[in-house]
Amino acid sequence: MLHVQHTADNCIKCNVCNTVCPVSAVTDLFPGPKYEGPQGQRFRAGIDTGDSPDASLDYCSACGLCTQACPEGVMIAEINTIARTKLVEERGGLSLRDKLVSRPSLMGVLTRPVAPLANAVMSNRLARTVIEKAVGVHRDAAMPPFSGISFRSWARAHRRPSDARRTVAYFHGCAVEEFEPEVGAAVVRVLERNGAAVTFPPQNCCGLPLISNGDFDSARGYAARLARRLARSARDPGVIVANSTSCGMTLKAKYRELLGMDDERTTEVSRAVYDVCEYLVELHDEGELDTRLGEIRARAVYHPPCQLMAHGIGTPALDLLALVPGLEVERSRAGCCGTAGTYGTKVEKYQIAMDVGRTLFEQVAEVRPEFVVCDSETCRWHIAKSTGLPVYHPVQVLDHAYELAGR
Amino acid sequence: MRSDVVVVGAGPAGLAAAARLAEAGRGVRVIARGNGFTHWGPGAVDVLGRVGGQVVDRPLDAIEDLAADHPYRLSGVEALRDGLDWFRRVAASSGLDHEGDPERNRRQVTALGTLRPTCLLPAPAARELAGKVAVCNFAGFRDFSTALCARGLERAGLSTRVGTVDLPAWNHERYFTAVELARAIDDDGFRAQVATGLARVAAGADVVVVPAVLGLARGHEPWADLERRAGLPVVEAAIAPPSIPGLRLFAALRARLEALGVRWQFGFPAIGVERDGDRVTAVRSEGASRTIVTRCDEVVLATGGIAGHGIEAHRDGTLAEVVAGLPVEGFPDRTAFVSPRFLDDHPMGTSGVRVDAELRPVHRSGSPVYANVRCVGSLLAGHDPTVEGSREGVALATAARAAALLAPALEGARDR
Repeated sequence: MLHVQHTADNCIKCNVCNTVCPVSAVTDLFPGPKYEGPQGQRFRAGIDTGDSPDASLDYCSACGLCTQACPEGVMIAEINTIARTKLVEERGGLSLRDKLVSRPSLMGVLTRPVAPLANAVMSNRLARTVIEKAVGVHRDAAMPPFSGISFRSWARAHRRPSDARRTVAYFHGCAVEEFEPEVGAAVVRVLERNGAAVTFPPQNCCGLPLISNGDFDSARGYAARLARRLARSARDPGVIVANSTSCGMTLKAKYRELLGMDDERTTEVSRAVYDVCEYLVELHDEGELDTRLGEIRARAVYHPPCQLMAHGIGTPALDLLALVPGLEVERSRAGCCGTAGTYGTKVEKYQIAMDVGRTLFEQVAEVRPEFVVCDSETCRWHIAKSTGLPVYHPVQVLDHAYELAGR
Repeated sequence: MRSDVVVVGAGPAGLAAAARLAEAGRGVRVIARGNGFTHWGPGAVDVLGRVGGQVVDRPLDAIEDLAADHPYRLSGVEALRDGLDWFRRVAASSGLDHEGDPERNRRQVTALGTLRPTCLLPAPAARELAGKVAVCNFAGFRDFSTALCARGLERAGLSTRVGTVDLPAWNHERYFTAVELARAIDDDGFRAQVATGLARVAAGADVVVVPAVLGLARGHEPWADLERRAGLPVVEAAIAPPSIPGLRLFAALRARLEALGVRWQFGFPAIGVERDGDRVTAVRSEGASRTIVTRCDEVVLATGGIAGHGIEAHRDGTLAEVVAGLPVEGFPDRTAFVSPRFLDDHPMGTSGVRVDAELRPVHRSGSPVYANVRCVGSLLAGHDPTVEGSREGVALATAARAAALLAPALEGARDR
């Protein structure tokens, strides 16, 4: 944590960060990364002004584009996320809304027995208005589809192939487990198609929503539990594949950078984590990827999630989608789709999220693709709601192409 | 990860090299720690502005007198011409016309009211300054002072007056920088109202100078529209970063790279190489939890000098090239890095990697360190791009040379 905050001293005030911030572009409620981040950090350093952050800090969406653009190594988004914990502390902890939205696995578990009813309620305008007034989740914000079955119940019933050449552990995360088991099934099929046996180590929520909302204490509990559960997989098979670029980023870097967890076990786990597209491209580089993909004659827009860029691996999904015959892919012009996880669901930030996403939505309206592709679940739900188009994880596209190609 | 060619750096040299190599048929991956000089500079193309403290009038003539190890001499004047032509074509295809040619320098107005020598000027900065000059700012824009600019222009013999243009209501009234204002000016309605205000404030002048904020995402169209509506020539003055003209260029080059299928790995620095004998076999870069290894056939380093973090200056006076550990000429100790006065020329600006005529980094003996590494841009020794005003010219000339050298795709080179 000390390291991240000290990077504020690298700032040379060049303003590059301000040129990429999607939030300050659409509202002056947020003064931009330079002021909120390294500049603000000097006042928050606690010498005689105390470390009370300005209320505008709450509008940072932590998309991280500033950290990536900064040529001097200032970790602006991370500085802001750490400072947010002070804001939360001063306000007496998370609001009820923020406590709820930070615990997607809890919400999923509670709604699973009544998923169809929960989905009906979530699409009912009156119900959503009541929820907005009571809790502060915007009535029009995209909500995940509640699933009646959990992914792990599918995984338990799934028969492993006997001819595997390699083994990988799968970190599916809350979204696949509670809301999108079909994405998880596609991940498993694609890995198996490429000679991998997939294991499902015990796991829990990575804690990113808690981190993003400013409750580091609870997040540390989640992180420690998860690291304990994944420790064995980190050693054997030594590869933990994640399909959510946000969970993947959290496991790879944010426990260390934000929660200050640099113990051996956490480090071992983070080093073993691969984004699923990253892993598949590495197989391809070794000539090990099954490239018998059926034709999908369609136009698609691929949106790389802001938090994928935090992996430092570029956009491996584009390399994979390029292998599908007939598929024309245009890359999104937007750095961020706007939702930034739970940020865009909040009543006071929803409009900002929609304004941020406009670049992408306008591009989609121009290009008129058959579908959109995106590696992050909250992006998928937000983009689907705003464009009315189906939005798939890249692995789902591959899965379909493999299916078309046959055995 | 694997790529045919890896270009390290996303400043002017890296972007140009990546685009030209991709145009020549190589598979290219750009690895960069962040944005580069496009975002900081005045948005013009400097070829050669000053030699020996004297302003240069005819760059091509002055280049003949440069030392043999100057990047222009090493890459050749033809590469410079080629680089400039390429730049003009690519910029124009994104709506960013440029004026000028390397036979004769032009002058660019700055926020200080100085007229800096440069070679190619974007059209919004290229109108002639003559007659009555109105220097106008936009109300609330803090990075431009009409009084300061006007004073400088008066010293240059121009007749000036100042004014402030009110802005219509918008969503950044409390706080904005050049970027927000430029984006607002992209909007037709906002701009029409600004034009009315500008016409009123500048009435009676022959030309108006404003800060360079006239639109961000629509090329030079907003500037041209403002000229038409205001009814007089408009000149954009270069201001402190963020450089809106530079951002326009970056967007154009980035779009070009995207269209060429160049892979973009942005936000994490390259930190090393793997080698086999005298060939680099991979570039190592920082990843979120692991070093990312990108195997490649060729490497182009466009990492900039000390300011670009391509070269690290250590407390003991030694200098280190950060990616491949190439030899960099040092200083006896760090007190030799800088001159006593801030605005003087600083010796460390000349530091860089020595290369041969094929842009390969060389040992003191002159033999190449690696067979498949080239260096371009301000990373190169033998010049100080800031002092002599040659940054973009060197970037374009060396990128052109690198592309010519690497263009014939090797048999079996992967197209990725």
